[in-house]
Amino acid sequence: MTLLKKSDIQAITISEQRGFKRNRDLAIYGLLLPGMLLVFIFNYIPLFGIIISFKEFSPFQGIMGSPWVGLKNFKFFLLDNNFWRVMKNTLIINIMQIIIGFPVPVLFALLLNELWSVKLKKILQTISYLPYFISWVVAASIVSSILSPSTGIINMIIKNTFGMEAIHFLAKKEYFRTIIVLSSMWKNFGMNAVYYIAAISSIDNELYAAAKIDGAGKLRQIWHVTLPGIKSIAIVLLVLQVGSIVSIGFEQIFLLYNALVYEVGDVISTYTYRLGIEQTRYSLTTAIGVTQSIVNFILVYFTNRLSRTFAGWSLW
Amino acid sequence: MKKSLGEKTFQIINLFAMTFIAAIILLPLMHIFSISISDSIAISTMKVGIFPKGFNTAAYKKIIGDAIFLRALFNSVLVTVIVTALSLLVTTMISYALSKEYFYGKKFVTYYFIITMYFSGGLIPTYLLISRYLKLNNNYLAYILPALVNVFYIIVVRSQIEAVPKSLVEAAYIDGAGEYQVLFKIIFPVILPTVAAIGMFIALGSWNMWYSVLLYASKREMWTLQYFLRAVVFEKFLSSYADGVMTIVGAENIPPQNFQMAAIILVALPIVAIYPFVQKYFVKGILAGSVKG
Repeated sequence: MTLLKKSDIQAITISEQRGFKRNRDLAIYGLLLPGMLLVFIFNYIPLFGIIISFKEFSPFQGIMGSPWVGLKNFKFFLLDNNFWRVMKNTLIINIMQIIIGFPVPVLFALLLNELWSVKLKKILQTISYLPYFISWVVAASIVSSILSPSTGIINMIIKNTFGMEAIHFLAKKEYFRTIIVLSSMWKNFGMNAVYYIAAISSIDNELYAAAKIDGAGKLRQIWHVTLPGIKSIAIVLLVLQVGSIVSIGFEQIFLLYNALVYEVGDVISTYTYRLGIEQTRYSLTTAIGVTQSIVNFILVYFTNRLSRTFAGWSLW
Repeated sequence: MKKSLGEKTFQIINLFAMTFIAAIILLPLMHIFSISISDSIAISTMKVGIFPKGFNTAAYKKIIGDAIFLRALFNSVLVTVIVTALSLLVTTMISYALSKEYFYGKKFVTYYFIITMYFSGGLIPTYLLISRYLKLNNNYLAYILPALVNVFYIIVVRSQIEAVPKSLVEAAYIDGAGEYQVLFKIIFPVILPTVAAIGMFIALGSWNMWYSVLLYASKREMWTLQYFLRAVVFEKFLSSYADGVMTIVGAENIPPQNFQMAAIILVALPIVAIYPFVQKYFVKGILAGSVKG
């Protein structure tokens, strides 16, 4: 360790010196090189690739050879009814997920906390987030076979117990969105509840004791002690969910949807996949992707500000 | 302490609710398992509910002996191991570098990584890059390389490294250690719990991956386990078995449902088996990662 005296009073180590110091910095660059290279190739090059949304990109002409078309691609999808149908589905499914999927982990955490046995709590919690770990392929396979009109248990009950006709749930527009939202909740509620369970367990027991002395019954205790205790984390998680309202994951819907339910179930990510990868309409789908990124960024930025204001915590 | 009647009632209702929740999660799995080992006639007349009827493991034998299944299993294990090991290595290296108090260019490098969290090229440019320009179709690298750097994990590990007592590091410098030695001999052992937790997340993501197969693989030999399942359940990938790729075990033809359900169980099995032992580290990892200083 070399000490460099700047003055009689101040001394700084090599670690703190400004400017390029060969001994110190070369090793650090070595550590950074692989990562920076990977990021350049797989993050920055595609970022430059956004340029094809302003061109009529054809793989034969290459990026440089393809002609400029300005905002033609953007105008196209903004005026396209198909796109707005897809945007509507994305928003509706997300809103449904927030309304149904948000309270459930909270409720579960509250109820779990009230169990008298610690062992029971642990077992239940472990069971609850089992679905989170299996892939969407496994989960969608389970959903698909339960709802199957020929062998599924739901239709079995419908036919044998109620004597009605089997329903092909996944092919029906009225059921599709609900199926997506419920199966998504099934898969995620356990893991989402983890935050709340941790928050609840960090609430000071004194507060409960004080409430009991004041004559509060179970429900009142929950209302006045538990809920305020998880308020901040709940707001943060809710705000984060709202912030990503224009995005929906591709996997779940892609596995469960089919042409019969495109009208209600096709979302931006699946639409982009079909048009971009299957129909090779590269420029158009890149334009959609760019727009979605920008909207997403703006939303995330503002919801973060909100989260910071109300709960004093944000992602950045 | 005497419990009031109200409290006792509440506890009973709660117990029912919890049992209901546990049932919702476990019963579908039991249903799938039951169909996978049931007698084919019972399946087609819809008599199989949560419990099996009949006993028939032909589907399991068929799948376990199948070349494509085994190859997919191998691919998944290979990719998961490589991605997890390399990703942890690269992540730790970057995090360590970024945790340094100062080096020439530190601000630039930090922004260089952080910007990629908020802006990305999107699906098509990435797809064109990997598939057309890098020509990584049907190549394991298409599965591995894009998954190596995750800036969120870098940030988490960096804050863990910053929490390591400086005295430990200084002592190593005095003993003449270079940066790489400090990283691997001093820092790494100290942040091992965090690294292990992140490793589990990475491994899980890699194991469950099938989207890259959809995009970049056209040959069956490149299938991962999850993609194999997708093909069996959603693309009715049973025809190869009629092609004579595998001889049929037993005299009778295996009904598709037996086969599909058995595939689901086999593919889900590794996770379900390892999960109970590993889940508490996962949870600790999530909570630790979300705590900001």
